[in-house]
Amino acid sequence: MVRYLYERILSAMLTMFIVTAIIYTLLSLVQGSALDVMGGSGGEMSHADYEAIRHNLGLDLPVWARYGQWLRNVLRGDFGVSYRYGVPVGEVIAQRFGPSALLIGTGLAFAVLLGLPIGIMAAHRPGSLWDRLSSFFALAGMTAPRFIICITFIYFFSFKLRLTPSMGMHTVGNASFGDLVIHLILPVSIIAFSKMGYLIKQTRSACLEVFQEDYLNTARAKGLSETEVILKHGLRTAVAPILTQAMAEIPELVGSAAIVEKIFGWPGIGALMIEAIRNRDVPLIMGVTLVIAVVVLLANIFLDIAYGLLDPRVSYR
Amino acid sequence: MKRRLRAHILAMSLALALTACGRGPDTSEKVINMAFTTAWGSFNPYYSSSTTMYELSLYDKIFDKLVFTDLAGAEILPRAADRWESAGDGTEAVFYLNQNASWSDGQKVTAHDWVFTARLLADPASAFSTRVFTHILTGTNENGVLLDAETFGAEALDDTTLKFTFKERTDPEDFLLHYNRRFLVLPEHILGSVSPADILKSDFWRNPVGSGPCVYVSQMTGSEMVLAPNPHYHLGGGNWDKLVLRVLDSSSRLTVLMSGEIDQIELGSSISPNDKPIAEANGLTVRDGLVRNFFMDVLINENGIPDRRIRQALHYAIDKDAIIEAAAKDVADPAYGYEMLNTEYYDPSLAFPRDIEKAKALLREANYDGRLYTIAFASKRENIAALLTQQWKEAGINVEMVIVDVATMFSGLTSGIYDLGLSGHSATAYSLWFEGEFPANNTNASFIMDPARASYVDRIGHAIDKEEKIALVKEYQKYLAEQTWFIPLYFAGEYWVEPTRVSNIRGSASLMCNDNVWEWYVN
Amino acid sequence: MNSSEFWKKFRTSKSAVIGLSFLLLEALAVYLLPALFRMDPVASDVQAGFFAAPSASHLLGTDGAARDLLARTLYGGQVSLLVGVAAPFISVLLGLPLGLAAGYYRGMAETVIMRASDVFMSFPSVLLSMILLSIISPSPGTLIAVIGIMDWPVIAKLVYGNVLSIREKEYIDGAVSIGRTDFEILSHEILPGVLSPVFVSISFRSGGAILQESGLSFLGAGIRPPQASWGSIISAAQDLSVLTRTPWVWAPSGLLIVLTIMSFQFLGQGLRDTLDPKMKL
Repeated sequence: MVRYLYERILSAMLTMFIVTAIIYTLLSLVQGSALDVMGGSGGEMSHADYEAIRHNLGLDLPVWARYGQWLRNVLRGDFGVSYRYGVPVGEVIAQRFGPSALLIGTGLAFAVLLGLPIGIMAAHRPGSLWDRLSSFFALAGMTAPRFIICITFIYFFSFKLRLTPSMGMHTVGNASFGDLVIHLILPVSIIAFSKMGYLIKQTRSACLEVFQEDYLNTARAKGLSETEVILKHGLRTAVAPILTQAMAEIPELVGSAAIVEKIFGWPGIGALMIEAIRNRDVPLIMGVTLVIAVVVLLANIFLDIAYGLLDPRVSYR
Repeated sequence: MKRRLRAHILAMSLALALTACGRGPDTSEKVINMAFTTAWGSFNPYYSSSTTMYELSLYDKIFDKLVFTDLAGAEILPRAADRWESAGDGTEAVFYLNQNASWSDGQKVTAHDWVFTARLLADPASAFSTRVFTHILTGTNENGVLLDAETFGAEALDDTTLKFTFKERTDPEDFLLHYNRRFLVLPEHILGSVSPADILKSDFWRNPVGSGPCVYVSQMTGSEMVLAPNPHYHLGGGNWDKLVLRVLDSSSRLTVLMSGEIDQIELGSSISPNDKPIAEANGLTVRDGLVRNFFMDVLINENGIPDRRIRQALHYAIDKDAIIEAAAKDVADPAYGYEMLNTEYYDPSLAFPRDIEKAKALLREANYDGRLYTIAFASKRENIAALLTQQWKEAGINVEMVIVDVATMFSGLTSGIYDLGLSGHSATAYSLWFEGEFPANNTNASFIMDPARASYVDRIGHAIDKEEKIALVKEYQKYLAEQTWFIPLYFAGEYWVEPTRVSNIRGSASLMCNDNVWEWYVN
Repeated sequence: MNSSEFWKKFRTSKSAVIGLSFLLLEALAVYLLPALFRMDPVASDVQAGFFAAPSASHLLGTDGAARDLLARTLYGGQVSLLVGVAAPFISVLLGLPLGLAAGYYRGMAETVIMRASDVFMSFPSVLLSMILLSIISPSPGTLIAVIGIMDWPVIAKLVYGNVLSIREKEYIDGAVSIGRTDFEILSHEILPGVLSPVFVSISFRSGGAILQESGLSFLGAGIRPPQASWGSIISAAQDLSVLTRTPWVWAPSGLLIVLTIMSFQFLGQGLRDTLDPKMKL
């Protein structure tokens, strides 16, 4: 087991190295470097000043040398300084990581907590009204463009009904839990709603299979109640593929959460990344890339282990 | 340093934990919420990754400026300077500074600080990305780099008197209208000991000490900033305890104003004509802009379109009324020069109706070969660009559209990737206000180098007699119209939403990147 | 199964038939109607006004630049459908051979290809697409390429998994011992078994591609004007006054996106149920 972990971590690090190298190279090709952005609306920098700043930022070295420098710095814990904000990248990310984790974590949790039971119930009574309704609900979640949902939700709940605030993570001066919750409701619902779709469908099909299997009928024959049958056997086997599905969707989740963050002005990593790409803020893009890659890879490793624990049929190679 | 890595991880977990706990609301505090649709950069006014009006609004709160401008320059009010006058033979400007001006750490602001700042801007070793105005002071070269410390045109006559000596005769108010926005004073007693080459790395920028109306408290980078009043500000302070700057998505502009979450949106809480009915239906008061000083124009890369006749053809083909109808409904006038309509420099004879035939004739004369031009613009201007390309197509000119962000547009125009661009500016009454706005250095070589043009600018700058000046400006505008280095489109006013919770906010001043926060009053 | 058996079985799924019919009708409409009625999505009709309500001359009204919305919606449909259908094909073009190689040859090929898949899948595709699109300027072609490239690991893994399970069946070993070439085995024994899941997957991923395109257009990284796509038309709804007062601008495109994606879903489900209900995707 330890050996397995060790191998996985090593391979994860290799993956991170490749991802960051590829993205760094791509970034160097992006037209309109940060320097041009700085030259701004006046182009008022003289040639000498331009060259001086270029040298300061290290932009006159070849790509591989710059990447190597970045890598060396990262290993020392120095993520560089954002071109745009002038603040150490590590600091910016540390500040904005929490809100994203909160948003995504809560969203995913609700998606699972609600999606699982709905899917199981649908599989339990296939063809029923409940089944059809939940299928439709799932379809809606999977197909509706996220930003339309965001904007219409804000319109109805914030604007028309004045139930929730329309932006940000908290009202200034109010650090209470209640205030946080009310700001969370809308964005979390949207994230949960989109993710629930897949989960419901997956749960339903996984459970359908399982509920047919003979050993469950044996269990029923033995006298176990319906609930016990579902919970003990159905859930146990269905949870594993569901978890796989949920975990494997984390990169996509981060991406779509970015859109939600942007619209709600939620101070998270996704919105930060979108701005960073717009501003060609290379140090920041690299920092966020690394963090996202780490999170995803850790999640995958965690999932692998959890999957192994949950489903005794899997063994480690 | 592994320690740093651990510190980051610790910080992240702490941040995660803290996001969920805390105390209840502190309702005794008076908080004003201001929203921006673009995040600001660092606190350094002279090294930003973009020189936008949003950044300038932020610096304005931390650092002080000589004056406060409003109504597109029609009003120039004292701020750090009590009064000012021209001296010498018109080549000097003297500013009498307020004696009570203080830094947020309690030290007094003196004229030496102002000289220090100017000197720093001109210093060849300083790593700043702009020198703002030093190129018009004596003792510098054409880029504003210091040549001779002895003759450098910034001097402290005494602790509260500042004197600038210009290379050419310059009216102090013209100088202020042009440069006040971007000239903010830095503390010599803190930054004086830092070498200009290292100045960017100084920790000062993380926790700046300014003499402006606000003090920095904290921020969530790229999302929110909290400011408190500067207790030592010489013009006093409003009754508010906290000023919070928040970044929001442009789609929420109207919603947050209507819900009351935000008191003021950047640059004056302006809304589009289409939004006006919704705002009013929801109980907001919308005022018509007092001055139409938002200038919209088409920028032209002269290397891409070197033939003046083609540029003129582009101008003749445009239907400005249609564009105004799409972009600014009843709050704009067509423009044919860059002087605002309510100034004495405005020349109505420059106006002409759309003339497709004339455009086609010009194209034939120039032997336009049907080649494709590109116009770059920010996404919010898409409707204008779509109309323009349609109108140009009618005249037979082929233009394709490219949406980019503002910075890429300017850099693309400079490097020649794009031939045309769309840009908005906030005009002032200063007769030569546009000269500083134009990305002049690289886009249009002939615009900079043309001796006729330089001669006009020179003479206008020197003209003392008002009548003479007006005549010269009008002549210059005719000349510019012929050359068509850029195409004026319109001057628009704005609809301002009047804040309900806070009084004394000057929306029109906000558009000029200064806010009278020391007068703001929470009802 | 042969084609008549296929259709017989397919027809039994009502939703799949509806889905397929809708898509065909839609494709017909977006390609034929504009040509038939000589619609112009780019011309500004200033006389009709900006954000004009639907009328006889402009059935869906006009947008902020006084362009006919019906024309834009239909032309936009051409782009969105094209991206939606073509992007998965790019994924297949890349993923199918790679998946086959990984599953059949195992060893080094397997490690490298699966590792490459992990690398691609470990990053949010939206963000990676944005980075790519800031290098190469967006157009329907580049969008198809970028979205298609983002998805190849999914196809590759799908194919890989299926190849592995086919391999386990004995007749492959038998074929090898007879002496058939790799290529023959791949094309005759393995490929047919893999094609069904791939087709089903294409249908599902088409919906996803359309969704991605609209997301990218919203972020400003997608289709550029004056070209329209449903996604870029909807992004006008970011303006509150457009969202609430002139819904004819964005609602038709929004509805079409949802219906199209649903149809692809139904089609995919129908294909799966017809070909092999137990198919692992």
